[in-house]
This record gives sequence, C-alpha cells and structure tokens, in this order.
Amino acid sequence: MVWFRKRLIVYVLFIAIAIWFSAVTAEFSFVSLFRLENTWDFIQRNFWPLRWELVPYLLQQSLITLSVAFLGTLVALCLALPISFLAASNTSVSKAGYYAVRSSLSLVRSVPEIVFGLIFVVSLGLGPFAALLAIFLHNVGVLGKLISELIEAAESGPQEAMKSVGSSRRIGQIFSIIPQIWPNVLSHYFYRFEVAIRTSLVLGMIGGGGLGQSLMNYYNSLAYEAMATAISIIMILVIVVDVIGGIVRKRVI
Amino acid sequence: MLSLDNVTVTYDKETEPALSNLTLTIKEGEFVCVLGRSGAGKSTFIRTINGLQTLTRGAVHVSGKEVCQLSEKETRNLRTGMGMIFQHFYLIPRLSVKQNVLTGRFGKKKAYQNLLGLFSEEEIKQADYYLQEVGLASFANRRVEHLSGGQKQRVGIARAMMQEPYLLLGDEPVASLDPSTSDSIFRLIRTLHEQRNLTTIINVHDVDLAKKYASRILALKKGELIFDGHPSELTDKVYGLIYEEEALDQRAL
Ligand SMILES: Nc1ncnc2c1ncn2[C@@H]1O[C@H](COP(=O)(O)OP(=O)(O)O)[C@@H](O)[C@H]1O
Ligand SMILES: [Mg+2]
Repeated sequence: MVWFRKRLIVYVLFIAIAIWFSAVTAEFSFVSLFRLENTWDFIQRNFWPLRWELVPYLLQQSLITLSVAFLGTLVALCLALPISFLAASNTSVSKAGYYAVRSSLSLVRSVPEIVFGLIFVVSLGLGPFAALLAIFLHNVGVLGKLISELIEAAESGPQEAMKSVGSSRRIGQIFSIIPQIWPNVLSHYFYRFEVAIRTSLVLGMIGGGGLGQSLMNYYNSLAYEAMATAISIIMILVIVVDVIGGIVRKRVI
Repeated sequence: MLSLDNVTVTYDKETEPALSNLTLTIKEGEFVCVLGRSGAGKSTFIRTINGLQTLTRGAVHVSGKEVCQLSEKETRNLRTGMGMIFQHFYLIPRLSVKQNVLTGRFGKKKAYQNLLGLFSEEEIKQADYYLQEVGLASFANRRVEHLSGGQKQRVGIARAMMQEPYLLLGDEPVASLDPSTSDSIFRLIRTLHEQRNLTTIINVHDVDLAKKYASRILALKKGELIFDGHPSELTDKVYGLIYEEEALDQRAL
C-alpha cells in the first residue's frame, strides 16, 4: 500500500458522497436501465429502411453544418492564438491584464453555445450565421484557455535564447513558443472542430440551418426513417473529420 | 570592456547568495573559462553580463554602460552585441538549420521583418557563410530536431555569430556532449575567437578543456571567486579546493 496515503481516504469518501448525491439528483434508476429495451425496440421498428433518395439533399445540408463548424472554429483559433498570449502568466502584459483576459475568457466560455444560438437566432434571424457566431464565440473562450495553458507549459529555454539574441519580447515569445506548441494547438483545434460539428447540429435544431434543422423537421413530422438517414450521415461526417484530423496531425508532428 | 563591482545575487532571502561580492574585470580579446561545481554560481555569473539576471547588489559595466540601468531598448541593443550559447542549445524547433541561424539577426531588425522572414540577400549570404564556418553547409535545410548534439551546438554558435558579436558567452556549452565532440566545439570557438579577437567567456566543468583553451581561468565556489589567473597557475591544490567534497553541501546537487 505504499502508493496510498491516508489523505486518500478523505478524497475517496468525498467522491463517494458526490456520486451518491448526483445519482439521486439525476433520478438514476437501475429499473429504468432495464427498460432501455424500449429504446432499442423504437430504434429497430422505426429506423429502417433508410431513405436513400434523401442522401443527396442531406449531403447538401451537411455541407452547411460542416461549413458552420469549420469557419466558426477556424476564425476562433485565429483570434484565440493572440489572446492566449495575453492570458498566459508567462507572456501576459501585466498581472492585472492576465486576470482580466483570463476571466473574460471564462465568462465567454461559461455561456453554453445553445444560449448564444438562441439569442442570435432572435437578433440575426434564422439560419446558419447565428450558429456560426455562437460556435465562434464559445470556441474563442475554449481555445484561448487551452492554448494559454500550452504557453504556460512551454519550455523556457528557447525564450531565453531569443532574449539573448536581443529580439523584442513579443517576437521572441512568438518564435520560441509557437513552434513548440503547434502540434498540440492543432490537436486541440481538430478536437474542437469535431465537437463543433455536433454543436452545429444541435444549433440547427433551434433554427441554425443545416443537417440539424433537417433532423428536427423529420423528428417533428415523425419521419423516423429520414431521421435515421440523417443520423447515419452525421456519424460518417464525424468519422471522416476525425480521420482527416489524424492525418494532418501526423504530418505536422 | 567588462567589469563587475561587488556583484551579489540572492535568489531568495533564506538561502546563501548565488554570487557574493564578485569583483573582476575582463579585457577585450580574453578567452575566459569559468570553473566550479554544479551550483557554484557559474550560470548566474554569465547571465548577469547580458542582463538576463538582475542583481541584488553591485553593478555590471559593459563598455562603460551599467547593464541593470538600461532601458528595455538599450538592453536589447546590449544583447545584440553578445552571442550566447547554451548547454541545451535552445534552438527553435520546427525551423531549419539556416532559419535558426537567421534568428540571430532578430535584435537588429524590425518586428514585421522578423515575423515575415524578410532578410536581405546579404544576411542570407552571411548565414551561409557561418554555416560553412561551423561545417554545416550541407545541413542548411534540415530541421534542427534531427541533428546530433554536436551539430546542434554548431547551429547555436552560427546563430550567435550571426549577431556579429563583440562578446561570446557560453553556459556550459559542452556539458551534454561527449569528450571528442566537446573538444571540436572548443576548437571551433577558439578559431572564431582568434579570427576576430572575440572576447569569450565560457562556463565549463571540464578542467582539461579550460586549461587547453582558456587564456584566463576563473573559479567559483559557493558564489565566491576563489581563483583568477592564467591556466598554468591552476595547481592541483587549487583544483582540489574547487572540487572538494563537502558532506553538508546541499547546494551541489
Ligand atoms: N531561478 C533560480 N531560483 C532560485 N535559486 C536558483 C535559481 N537559479 C539558480 N539558483 C541557485 O543559485 C545557485 C547557483 O546556481 P547556478 O548559477 O545555476 O550554478 P551553476 O551554473 O554553477 O551550476 C544554486 O544554489 C542554485 O540552486
Ligand atoms: Mg549552470
């Protein structure tokens, strides 16, 4: 038992209480778990056969979903990259600036995308642009935080070398830090892109256009086979993006 | 050209100073090696010269200017004239050998030029020349991660030379290299030193290298200067004094 310290008992107890409390609050029940066969029944009875004739239209819709996710996260990355330097303790302008940027980022992050989406759908009208903005805003917050943590963990040696060459603070930081963290930045980016595809679907359901909107329309009109077709396309989409991300990452590292 | 007056550096108040009351002058064209056990204060000493380390007391003067009193711009200017090489090389990953050498010019150029990589033809030629000089001409377009330790240090030296320095600083540049590579690195440094009467200050813990190449040897022990003289004056007795074991010396780890 050399790995375990006495304090561990306290932690375990604390976590156990948290689990029990969450289970009660979330109305977890084993009985319902066995009733999951209802779900399975529903899927089996209604999700087949797929509606192949819808595929061209759905692919077109998925292009909207994909574009929203891609553009929203890419622009977010471009903005998050400079911001993250201000949000990292080793590269920030000042202590006050550090806390200000950090807390603005977490403020942005604390608003779920769907809330941004609901607001923009009202203020800008229905359609993909509302979804795009919602995804962009949220991801500035997320990527800003993730990248600033990479910056803080970056090795300080190259930064010292750039200082002793006489380069300015900012240039030195850019050259000594970005090449170091770049593979990880891309990893984070592709993960956020993947998440954004799903988010873009959910935002579609509240009027953000694309595949999500189609999905919701089929659901509301009880066209479950069409819905199943849409879901299949979503799954393929996510897998394809994941594979592409893997290839890019491998080439970069 | 360079003098330290009563320089004391204390990292935190409880511990012994890393440098205490160091007073010495280094003249143009000297080849100085600094000996001392690990934790003796060698790195701290080197770093006070180009202003990477702030002083607790005392002053460092370089060409008549007090290092710690300089504005940020003046500090950059000062560092531009001092090449520095490191034990762990501190090259910029993902960049090629030649690109790394070119970063040696960062102190002399505008931010946008550095950012976009706008180097004059003359600077490119110069980079080629120094790569030739350190024997890496055929490696110019390789990425630095794939080089051996000795080759990396040669890139570090070429980067430093790209600054056209009047002073070369080295913080244990051969400590992670094998003996024969270490010797060839020192030979290279001596060639550069002789070609342009380049003042050179290098930390080493290999006494033989110091004796072979230095024109003057300094020895530090617990932050104090315990030897300063010609290599021939470094007797076995002094040698013993520098490296003697101390059971309770917790700083030497
Ligand atoms: N950044 C630092 N913070 C606190 N103590 C330090 C720091 N750098 C060095 N020291 C301490 O200062 C002393 C001298 O260190 P250093 O100059 O690195 O010696 P050397 O290069 O000869 O090994 C050591 O006791 C070391 O622990
Ligand atoms: Mg050291």
